[in-house]
Amino acid sequence: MKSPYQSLPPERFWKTGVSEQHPFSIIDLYKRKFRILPTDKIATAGSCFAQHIGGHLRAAGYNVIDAEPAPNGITDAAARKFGWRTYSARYGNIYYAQQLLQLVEEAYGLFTPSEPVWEKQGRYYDAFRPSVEPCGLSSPAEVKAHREEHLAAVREVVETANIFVFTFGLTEGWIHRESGTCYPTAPGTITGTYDPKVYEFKNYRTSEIRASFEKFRSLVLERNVTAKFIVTVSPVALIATASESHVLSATTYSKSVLRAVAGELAEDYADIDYFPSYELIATPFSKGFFYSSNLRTVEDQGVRSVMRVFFSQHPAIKKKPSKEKVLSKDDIVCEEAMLETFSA
Amino acid sequence: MLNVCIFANSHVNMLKLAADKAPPDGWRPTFIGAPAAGLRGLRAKGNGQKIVPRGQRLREWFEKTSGGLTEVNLDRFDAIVVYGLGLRSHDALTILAEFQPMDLRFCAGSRLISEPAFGALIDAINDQRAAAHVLNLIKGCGKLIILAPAPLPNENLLLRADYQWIKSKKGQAAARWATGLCRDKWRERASAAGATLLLQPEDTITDGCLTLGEYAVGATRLSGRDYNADPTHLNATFGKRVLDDVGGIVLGQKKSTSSSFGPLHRLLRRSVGNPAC
Repeated sequence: MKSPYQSLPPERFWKTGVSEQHPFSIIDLYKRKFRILPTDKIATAGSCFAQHIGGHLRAAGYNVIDAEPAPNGITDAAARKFGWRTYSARYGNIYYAQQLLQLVEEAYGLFTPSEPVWEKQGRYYDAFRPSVEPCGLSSPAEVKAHREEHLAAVREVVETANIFVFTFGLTEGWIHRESGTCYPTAPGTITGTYDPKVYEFKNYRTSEIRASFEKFRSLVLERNVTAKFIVTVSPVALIATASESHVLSATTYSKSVLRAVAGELAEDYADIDYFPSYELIATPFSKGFFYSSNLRTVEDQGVRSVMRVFFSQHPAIKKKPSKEKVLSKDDIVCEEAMLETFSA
Repeated sequence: MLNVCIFANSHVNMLKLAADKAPPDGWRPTFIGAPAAGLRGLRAKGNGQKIVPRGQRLREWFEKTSGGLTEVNLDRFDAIVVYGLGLRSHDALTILAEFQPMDLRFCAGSRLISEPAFGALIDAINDQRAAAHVLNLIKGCGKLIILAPAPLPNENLLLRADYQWIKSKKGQAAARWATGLCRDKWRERASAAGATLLLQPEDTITDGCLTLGEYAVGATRLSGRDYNADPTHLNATFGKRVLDDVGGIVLGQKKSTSSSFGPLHRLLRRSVGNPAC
């Protein structure tokens, strides 16, 4: 009698695929769907964890787009403080798919966001990337001018990227009630003022996230037929939840939804690949080994393990990785971390 | 007779020539020089009161410029001067050619930069300079420390195609602003190191951002070779002005120097300063 499991390879069984494997040496966790060519231009975006990916790809010799390069001579630490050298443009963290879609729609004049400028102590902030100018700007007009320049860079990213790597981070976000405009942070966290009549909490559902990413994909492909996508899910837990749930339940829900969406997208589209960084870090497989003592921050060796799996399928172009310093966990810029200050 | 140790880069030659020509009255300078960022190779020894060169090349410059010393014992000096060593407004002008604050934009094709980001850039560049390194080595020595940034680029800069923008009214306003910002940053750095800031004499400056061309005539640098249209180095006449000011501070005739900022810079400064930053 034959069983459909009979001739399956070892990685399909928990014992041989997981129990007998080690996080530093696991094989066959990821099989690429398409090659990344040395000439391919790679764009990166996503939640905080995604910052690691661009740095490692660059160090490995991949052509990572930097559409808003920092001035020459500035150190990496100073550059990142102002949103340079973090992603392919200075968009800051993009935690959820609706944010990504909204950015591209805005870049092409398909969407006009509401309340785009937030104020704090006489300084003005781009509500969609408040961390890239930590001291704010002198006027709303200056914010607008900087944003217009940034949107031109976003268009460059969309139109030139052969590979777009996006890390899904959260399902929870904050939106403008009337227009649906979404923001990376809750008003009042870094800047702005929370007015419940104007803003509301939104926990995006699987179907909404999938629809947003599909629309984003279509917008990109309309302008750049060569684009392919690699999606990942951040293994970093929510630092706080605005839902009614315990933060552990909220994290499990969010990550489950994001993992489901990423899996469906990869199943349904030949040009979307899923890379399992989440599995490597956040499942029982690694026994929490890669997390810091706060059980949230991913240690540098965790990131290295993730990238080792990535490079096993997309080999480093440089034989000897560049001496350029890749990010450590302390270099990561994460607005979400500000929420911890509201903890009792 | 007071003893003053002067750490400098390629500008050391104009100071040395000035001192040779007219030895300072009441104090004696000892020069320690090396080109470019060479003094980043200095190291503290023992309890930190001795400064020594590391590497053969720096050792040679050290001995050559100091008259044969192989180490500096800070205890033997009454004051220490950090001159130039990469603290210069030229970097700010270079950045400004490509990145401009919105209110100061003089070139439509340039990229925007916020004033805080521009300031952070200057800080980040200064952090890597030999001046920061030497200040760090000597900051606890208990002696009078004078921090004197490099002279502003001289008018020869305007001969270069990539700096023609400074000639325009808007470009000049931007250059004045950037120069003022550099001064703020130097002042902060001096304050943090417990040093007295010595700025370039106002009457040697033109347009708020350049050194008068007359001080570039016969300019000299550490290699001793003079070359035409050097926008960086100055002559011994300027060197004497510096030594006079150093002497004024060391001998207690002068507290420190400050420099006025143009009205535009003051106006812009008021718009910055978010206490949250």
